[in-house]
Amino acid sequence: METDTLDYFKRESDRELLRKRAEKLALTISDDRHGQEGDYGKREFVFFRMGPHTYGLEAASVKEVMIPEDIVSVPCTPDFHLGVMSVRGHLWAVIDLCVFFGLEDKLESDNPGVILLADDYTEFCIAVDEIIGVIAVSEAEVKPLPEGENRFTSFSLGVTSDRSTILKGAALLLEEAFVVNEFVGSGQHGLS
Amino acid sequence: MSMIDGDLKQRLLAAFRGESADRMRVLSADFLKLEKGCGAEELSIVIESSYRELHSLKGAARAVGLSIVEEFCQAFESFFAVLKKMRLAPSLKTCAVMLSWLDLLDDMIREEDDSADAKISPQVQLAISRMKELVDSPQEIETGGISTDHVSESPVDEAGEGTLAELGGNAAGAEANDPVADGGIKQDFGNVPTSMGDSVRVSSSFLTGLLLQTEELIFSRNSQHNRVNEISEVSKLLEDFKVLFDGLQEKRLDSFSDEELKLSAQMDKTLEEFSRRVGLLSTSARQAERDLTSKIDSLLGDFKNSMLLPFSSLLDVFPRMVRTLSAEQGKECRMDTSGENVRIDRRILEMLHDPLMHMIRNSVDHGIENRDNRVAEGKNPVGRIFFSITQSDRDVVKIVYGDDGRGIDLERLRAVAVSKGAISAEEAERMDRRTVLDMIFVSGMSTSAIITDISGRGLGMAIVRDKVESLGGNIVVASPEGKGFRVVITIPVALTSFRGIVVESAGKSFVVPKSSVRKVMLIRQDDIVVAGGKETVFIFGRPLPLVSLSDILELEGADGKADSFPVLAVGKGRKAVAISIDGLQGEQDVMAKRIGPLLKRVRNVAGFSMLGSGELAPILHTPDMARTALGLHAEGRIRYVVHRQGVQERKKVLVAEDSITSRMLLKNVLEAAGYDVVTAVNGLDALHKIESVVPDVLVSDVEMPQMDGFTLTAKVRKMMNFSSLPIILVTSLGSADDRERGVDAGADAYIIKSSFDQGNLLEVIGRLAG
Repeated sequence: METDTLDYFKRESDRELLRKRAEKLALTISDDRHGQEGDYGKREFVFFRMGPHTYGLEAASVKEVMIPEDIVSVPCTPDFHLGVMSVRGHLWAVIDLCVFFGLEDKLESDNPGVILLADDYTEFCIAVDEIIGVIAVSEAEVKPLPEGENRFTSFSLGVTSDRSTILKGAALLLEEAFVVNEFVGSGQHGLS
Repeated sequence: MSMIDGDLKQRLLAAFRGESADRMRVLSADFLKLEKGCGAEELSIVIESSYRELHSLKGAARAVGLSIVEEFCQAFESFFAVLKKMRLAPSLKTCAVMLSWLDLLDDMIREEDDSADAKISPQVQLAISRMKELVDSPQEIETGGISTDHVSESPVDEAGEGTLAELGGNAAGAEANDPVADGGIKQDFGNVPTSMGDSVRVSSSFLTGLLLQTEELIFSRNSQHNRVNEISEVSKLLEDFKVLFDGLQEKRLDSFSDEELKLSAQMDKTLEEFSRRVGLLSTSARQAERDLTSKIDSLLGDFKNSMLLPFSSLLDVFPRMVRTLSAEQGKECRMDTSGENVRIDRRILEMLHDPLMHMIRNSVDHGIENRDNRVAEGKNPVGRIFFSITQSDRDVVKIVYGDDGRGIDLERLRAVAVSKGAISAEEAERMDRRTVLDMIFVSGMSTSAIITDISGRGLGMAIVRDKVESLGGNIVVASPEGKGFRVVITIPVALTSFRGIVVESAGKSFVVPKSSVRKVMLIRQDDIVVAGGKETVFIFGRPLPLVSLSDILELEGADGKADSFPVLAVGKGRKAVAISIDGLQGEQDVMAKRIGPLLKRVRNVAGFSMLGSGELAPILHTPDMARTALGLHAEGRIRYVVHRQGVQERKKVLVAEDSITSRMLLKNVLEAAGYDVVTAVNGLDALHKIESVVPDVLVSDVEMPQMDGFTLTAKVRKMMNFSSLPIILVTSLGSADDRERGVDAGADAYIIKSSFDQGNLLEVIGRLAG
């Protein structure tokens, strides 16, 4: 029984590893084809998956990635606030970007991974189905999305050749809609 | 010094900011003591202290290259050298001048102008030259008038002209010849060895981080505890196994061959050894747990202690503020404090700073009358603001703040509340003193300029209360007729740990601070009294509104209509409510964690805590909850009869609908109309529920997974008890065929969603349910 489980885990992680490698290799090749100048003008992005789609975030705004044991929901918060989790004794708010952007896609994982974003003023993390890895992409390769009115396009830098959407980490950190600040009697929330 | 730059410079400056803030605090406290007047003995202590602080400040300024600050401190220090040498007690007027110099110094420190050609403002130039003047001719320093006992033994009279000149010369010498002063200082420090040297300046955020990490150890301890229990379980199993094994051996021993007997003896021996080892492991694990517990407890205890600071570190900044503010207003105020040595968590202290400052501002701005008015009222011309701090309990500190100004004009507060639409005129009439006073916490009113003009107590009191409550404290306002304004704040000593009641609602755990719960009791169905369609229970001899925690927290939860359920009574007087919960998990020490920058303030939630199991749980904000509950109860927005079973007069509606939005909409509409609603997620679910629910009406969607509305209708019709149950199909399928299918299946009504409006549905239900 136990060996079965172990084997299973091994198999799973092997497969996972191979798949990640394949993905990474594929991306690197597409990079090379685009520019022979090497790493010049390239920036590193953390790539991750939410639902069926892949996204990237500037590595500069990412502090850490991890798979938390538990995310506890917080009552009386907007639905894009997935909850909070503890990292070495500090609590981090977890945001579900799919809900916030109003995307069709939903997070699939029951035990999502998180990407911790932080700057000098604020910190929070976003829930993701899978963290793919850090890959350098040249700016030229990121093609801007068509102009749009919705929330999603205002946070995206563009799309890479393999259809990953690059998000603006800095803009997410500045987003004030994430902040919850209301108390009963403040008259700012709708009891109606 | 200006050659130092970059990182080191920044670090030095940061250190200087911390140090100078501390020293300025001591200086302003000292000066105010001088102004207030003190005995000869205290006088020399205070002057000595100021002298030293200025000297050290001078050194610090030199280190970071703030040459003007250095020069200013030099002159100021020399001035104090004269006061010290000649044992002069500065007069009120002198003190005022000194305080103005201190203000200048404060400005200069804040500017941090370290350029070589830093400009000396004319004011500063003037001040420095005035100081030098006074040092040169000390007889010009106005003295006396404060400390009578000092005046009588004052050396001024005894000292002749020559002595004065000599002393003046000495002081001037000290100024020109720094080492003399330095020597003196060193000697002084030798006498007070504890004042420096064995303490280290650490940033408070670093300390807080350490404390958080230390607190994490508690969870290591808890998991160790679980392992100990696991081991004793294993040990017990082994004992059981041994008994079984021995029994088996016993029976079959006779039939064993020699070989088997040998093997059996070997097994016995191994088992014995196994059992012994497990026993040892169990003991050592238990020992390790105890060891860990005691170490963590003492470490945490020390840590929490290190987080405590005396109140004086907060209050010391206020007297000068009072002075400046009242001077701006052309008023005179003084501030008295008592109990400033009471110690409290520095984080609480930091958070109290703004609320307290706010109240002081209000007092000076609006509470304290100007001199003429005060005299006319027969009051002391000098206004009084006071803080009195007492540790009322081991973990609780009581802060009484007040002034002797004009107080709160209740009548006008009433009038404004009515004009703002917060209450009706009749309500205002009926309100007692207490309730009217509480109106100053209503934020819509309190931010109004009108209130500020008339009573001066409005602005931001809602925020003050929120700060205090979020720290786990409470705040009460009093305004004795014509005797000023008073606020009593009770607040816990430490943020880190308090007793919490762990409760369960909608399958989740929550922590309620025990101090805010007045009573926990089990309520039976019979105890519920329905008054005006709203549920109440009798606690403290009167009916309290009964609201469920899942309603307050907007949780989607199973309405557990148990025969009995626990209830928490919170709030006082008119604000008392009974909050029903699904279960009680017990009581434990909990530590509040801040939720981070994104969740600044969440309704009904005060923070988070790690439970003993290592699970995170929200700490509930009891005052918020009580207010939410009262609001829900008053608006009648609670789900009608959540708790009460089988109330006859209410019709029950079973709603089958697969879309959660439509389901909630229907539920809300029907509940608002006074129906008891049970929901099902599809036809099959409804079919399962129908027997236990026994509805008066069934409202069903047509298109649903598993079993659609047509099938459901047909099946229900075939059930004996429900053959005549009114069934209403609500659907988007509007064709005549569909309608016919519905009628064929046996539905009583068929409502098209596109033409769906609440009135229509309610009318149909009303008619069918009879």
